[in-house]
Amino acid sequence: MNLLRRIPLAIGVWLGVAAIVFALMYVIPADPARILAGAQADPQTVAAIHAQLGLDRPLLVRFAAYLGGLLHGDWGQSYLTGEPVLGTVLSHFPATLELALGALVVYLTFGCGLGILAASRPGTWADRLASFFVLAGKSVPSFWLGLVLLFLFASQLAIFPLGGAGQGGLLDTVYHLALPALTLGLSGAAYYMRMLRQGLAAELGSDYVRTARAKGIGEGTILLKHALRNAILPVFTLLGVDFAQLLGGAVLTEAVFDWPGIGQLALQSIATLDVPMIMGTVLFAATAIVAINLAVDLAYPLIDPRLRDRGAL
Amino acid sequence: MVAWLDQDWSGWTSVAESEASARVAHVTFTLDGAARPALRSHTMQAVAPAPPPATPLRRRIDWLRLAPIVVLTLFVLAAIFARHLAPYDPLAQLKGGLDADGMPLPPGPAHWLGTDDLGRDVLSRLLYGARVSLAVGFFATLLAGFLGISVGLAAGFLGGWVDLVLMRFTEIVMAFPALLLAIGLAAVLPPSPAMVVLTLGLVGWTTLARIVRGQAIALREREFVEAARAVGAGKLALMTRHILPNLAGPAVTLLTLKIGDMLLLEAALSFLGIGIRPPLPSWGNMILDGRDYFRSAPWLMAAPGLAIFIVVVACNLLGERAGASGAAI
Repeated sequence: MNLLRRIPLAIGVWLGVAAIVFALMYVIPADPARILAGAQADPQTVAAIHAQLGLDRPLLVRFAAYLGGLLHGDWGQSYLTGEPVLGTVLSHFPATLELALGALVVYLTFGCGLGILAASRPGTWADRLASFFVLAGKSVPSFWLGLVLLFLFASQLAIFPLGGAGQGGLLDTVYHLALPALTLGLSGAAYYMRMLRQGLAAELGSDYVRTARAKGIGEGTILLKHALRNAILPVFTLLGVDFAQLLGGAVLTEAVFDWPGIGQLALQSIATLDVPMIMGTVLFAATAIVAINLAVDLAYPLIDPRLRDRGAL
Repeated sequence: MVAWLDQDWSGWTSVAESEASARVAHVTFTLDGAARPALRSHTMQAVAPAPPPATPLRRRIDWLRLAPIVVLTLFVLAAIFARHLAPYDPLAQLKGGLDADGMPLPPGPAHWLGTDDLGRDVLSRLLYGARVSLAVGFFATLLAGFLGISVGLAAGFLGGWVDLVLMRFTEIVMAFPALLLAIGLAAVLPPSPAMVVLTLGLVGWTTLARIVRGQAIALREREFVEAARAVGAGKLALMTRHILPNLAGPAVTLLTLKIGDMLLLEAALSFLGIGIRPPLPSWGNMILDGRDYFRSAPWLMAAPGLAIFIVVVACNLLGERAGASGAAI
């Protein structure tokens, strides 16, 4: 029932995503062949691409051909290197995945840790510090935070490296990952903090918590064993949403730390105006988001038994 | 689907929270009935603290509300009067602007915020950059606001297939990471400040549309709308004269928060070299300029970064305060 509704919806959204990328590449520009060939292309190349695209054919036919290509793994070629777009994007994926996982760890430790701390001591310095953290996290430009962290920890204190992904090996990766993950994670962690603090505050005021208190259960146990289990559910959802966003590459963080992920690929492609590659990264990111959102939707009943009992939504 | 967006978000309790919810609602799950009232009750609890007992004789000044207004006013004035305030021409590569080794000068009496790698006065550039950054942020917010409110209002009020189509479209746009979509747009649009405004507006309207839609659905059933409908008001009149004015207060709150987002996004695009482009100074491209010197001349990136941070903090504080203290319907 659930599956039957969710999967077509996700497919519909993905088709819309493909349509927007298609429009960006082939409909908005006055001469798509010119854009695809790159700024320095000679007239022959442009004419060849013009013919190859079949620009005289109706728009819908071209969109159908484009979709067909996407589904067969043909995401176009980089005009610069001639390499297939999809393969290039996928080769940058592992680095992006590492960074995304690192950021999730920061979300969970900083965001949820501070959220629990703030909720357990409402109105105290911990609560106020947490509020400040939320405000600052929302307001700081992440790339600037990255530069500040680089200045402090890589340049002044020389604890961490200045950039790059390292030579492999778990320790080396973590060593290189620390600052980028922190940069990416700190501003996002603010949302988790706020969400968990408010969720916990609500749970702590509910009847079952009063019952637990009346039975003489300690505050710590109530907080961590009773309230947290209910307040954590929206956090999981947000985690899914954010993970999806992160898989699309963190352009800014990757730019600051020279991290060889998908965002960096998008950025290099902008510098060379390699439009097929730019659109490939955009499409890949949006596809990841649609797919993971679908997965979260489908996984939700597994986490929350109350949804399972009702069957349908 | 996302039925809980349809509920009356009682008085826009904590707009920031609704924005966060709109982010989450991107995933089309629905919390079940047991979880939802809890979410609602804690939003009310979180933003509507009990009124202070026994109003003291002297009215207490809400510093957290006053400070951001003062800060924003100062920044806007500085931007407007940049020509009179700036000690130097922001584009001039000053004669004594570099030291003997050709390195930027640190902050000092002649150059309060130092000079950059081309020997230009950082303070003057910061002031002129404020013009560009604040103007782009402001107009982008207006555009995003116009789009978001139009789409949300039409979807929420008209309902039916209009709602279905518009909300599907919103969902599709939300499937793109904002920055990557902006990059895609910037790649095909001609480089100019107006196109930066267009880009930011086109990626920034979605959360607004969702929240306005929920609100419009709630308002649609209210008595005053019924009354207007009963005396023969058309759909357009109902939307623009009766529903829209009731959205104005909360919309202003949301847009105040949006300005912060737009400023950050503008800075990000300019930092990546595809927003406001040199020689026109903006806070984002000033950070880009300072990036290569972050070890030898950290003031280059410190000044614009702090300026963005302070202004965005002020916008967020102002928006949250306004949302908390009864910009409610």
